[in-house]
Amino acid sequence: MLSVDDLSIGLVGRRGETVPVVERARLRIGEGETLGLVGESGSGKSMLCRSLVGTLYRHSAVVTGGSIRFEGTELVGASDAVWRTVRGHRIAYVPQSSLAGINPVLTVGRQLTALVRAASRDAGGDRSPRARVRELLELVEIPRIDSVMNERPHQLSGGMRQRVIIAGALARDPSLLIADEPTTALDVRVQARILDLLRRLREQLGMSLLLVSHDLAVVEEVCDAIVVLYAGAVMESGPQALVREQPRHPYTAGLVAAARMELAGGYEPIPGEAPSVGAWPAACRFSPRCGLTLRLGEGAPHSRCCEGGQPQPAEVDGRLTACLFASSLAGEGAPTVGAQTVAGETP
Amino acid sequence: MTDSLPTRSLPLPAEAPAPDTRVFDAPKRDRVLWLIGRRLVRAILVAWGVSLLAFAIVRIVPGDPVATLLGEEATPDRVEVLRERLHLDGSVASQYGSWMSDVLRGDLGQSLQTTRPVLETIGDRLPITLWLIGLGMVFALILAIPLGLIGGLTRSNWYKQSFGLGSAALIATPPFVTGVLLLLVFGVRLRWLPVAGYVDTFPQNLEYLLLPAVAVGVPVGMIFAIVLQESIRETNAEEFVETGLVWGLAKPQFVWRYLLRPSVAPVIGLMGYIVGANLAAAVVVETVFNLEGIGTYLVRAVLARDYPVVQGTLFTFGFIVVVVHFLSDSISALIDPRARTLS
Ligand SMILES: Nc1ncnc2c1ncn2[C@@H]1O[C@H](COP(=O)(O)OP(=O)(O)O)[C@@H](O)[C@H]1O
Ligand SMILES: [Mg+2]
Repeated sequence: MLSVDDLSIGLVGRRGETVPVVERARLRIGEGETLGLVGESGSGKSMLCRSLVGTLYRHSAVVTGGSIRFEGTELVGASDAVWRTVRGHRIAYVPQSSLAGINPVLTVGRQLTALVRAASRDAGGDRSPRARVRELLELVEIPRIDSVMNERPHQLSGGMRQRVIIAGALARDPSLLIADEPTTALDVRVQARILDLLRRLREQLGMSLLLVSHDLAVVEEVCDAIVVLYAGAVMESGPQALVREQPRHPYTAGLVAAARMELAGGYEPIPGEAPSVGAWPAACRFSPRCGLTLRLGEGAPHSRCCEGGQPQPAEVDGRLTACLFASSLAGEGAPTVGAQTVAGETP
Repeated sequence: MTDSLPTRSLPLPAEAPAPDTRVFDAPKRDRVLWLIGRRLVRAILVAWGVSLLAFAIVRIVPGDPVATLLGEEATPDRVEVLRERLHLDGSVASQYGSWMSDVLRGDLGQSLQTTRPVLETIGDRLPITLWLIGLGMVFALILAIPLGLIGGLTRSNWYKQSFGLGSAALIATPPFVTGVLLLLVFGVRLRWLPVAGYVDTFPQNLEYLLLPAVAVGVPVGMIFAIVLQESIRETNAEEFVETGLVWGLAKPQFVWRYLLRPSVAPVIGLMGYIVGANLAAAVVVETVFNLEGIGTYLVRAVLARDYPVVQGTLFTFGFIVVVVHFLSDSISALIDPRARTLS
């Protein structure tokens, strides 16, 4: 239902020049499927989401190339009229911050009633807006609906706010729900409930779900497939269990190892820092931090990684991997790749 | 390496989870009432300060009202009698005390020139002044809302530069200059509107108030526009605006509920401060347009050293400012939870 191909997004500078934030991204979401989009913060996940709802312009960014096909419609370069029928209607979006994501000056009831009115006007329906709002709030499992409707967002907990925003996103029966880091600002207990809710909603409503997170553990709870983004480029994408259990990209392997360490109570992230926008290396984006290429090149990135820029994803072992040495990872224990150590084996 | 990565143990309580309705940093309605109560107390204190100022000012300015009234040849006896009648004998404190006790009973004294009770004259003239500043505020908002929206949403540097220049020029122009210009163009030259005078009935009075209200409202409108556009720019950068946008609301509803509503609190808060400047502008503009409001009353009284009138009008002005300030503060706290901090 959604195919994104070679999608590039650029930040527009003062003189109209663009600096790439996402480059040649590719992703696929099927009917009723859940895709997890993972990557460190700053890797361009939110920008990618915004390109799917046509709000890049609010962040001084534009699509600079590629295509987004959604239910047969091309969204890159689509007119406002097309966006009006897609944005919020077919593709719903839950923005990153549940704290700032909801209008602070209106009660929950008023916000949702206005939305439901607009929705039923657009759909030509004649249902009572209040009944529909209740239905939506029930759908997202909000207790004490009547009092919540009369409250303003600052009177609600983070989890409640997130539920209200999700309820709003569902008002027009979208076929794709994008949830941008829906659990990031919440404590672990509430995180688990929101994930449960999303999973249930997807099944109950038959939607597709694009779940964004910087946390691999969140994605693996819910997703059928994952896309790993690093510095605006897709590193690896494929079936979730496959990619997670047998990573073929050193970056994915590093993420998995770090998540493993965290479970064991340790903390060992991939050494170094992700390059910021505008400072991406001309070589493979990950090469300055990649243990594999540093080992192969004896301290410096291997010459093959420096030729031809960021490698394009190629099929390896049932998934797409943007690493020239992907196949050499096949034989090795993934977490030992890179500068990582296996959990429990302290250096 | 095929053993699965164990799922992170997300601790879910075994028993029925407590509903996730934790309330934090939530100023509830009673908190708002408490806040408004504090502001009321503050308003009363400020009103008292205003009475002190009004009382002090007429005593600081040079010139003895009694001597002015009686002329050069007054006998000391007559001066003494008049002083006593005017409560100008005794210590300053006792003078203030007797004035204050009169004020609290609703008596602002009598004019020295006409012997008419000051409160009565103010009652006659206040409506004109209130119309003038009220209409001035309306004009200010009519200017500020579109300018604030455009300025808050535009990315055009050209617009920002020209608005910056234009607004600075308009704010710097004193209302009497604007008033005289408007008078010359629309009153004298084009003869569209009357140059002076007033009619006391509602729709007709607008004809006389239009130009003075524009003169009072333009600089205020520019100040509002600057504050509003900054506020809208901040609001527009918030994520909830994106939520509203993606929800696909009708345009007017989106603009009002997601851009203006969350941005007006600073402007309403500012009204409380601006109304003082507005009154000052009204005094001058009333003179230019010959409107018989309390501005012209005050000016005449100052020239004639009619101190009960000066004292009473200044106190009334101050009282209006305090009331408007209290209202604007309270309203902005009521409509926007984020404005609920004690300043
Ligand atoms: N409004 C903006 N203006 C300029 N740069 C931005 C803006 N929003 C995001 N960026 C930059 O774009 C990059 C990608 O951001 P984002 O998509 O928010 O990352 P993520 O969601 O993965 O954390 C970041 O490096 C960030 O600095
Ligand atoms: Mg983000």
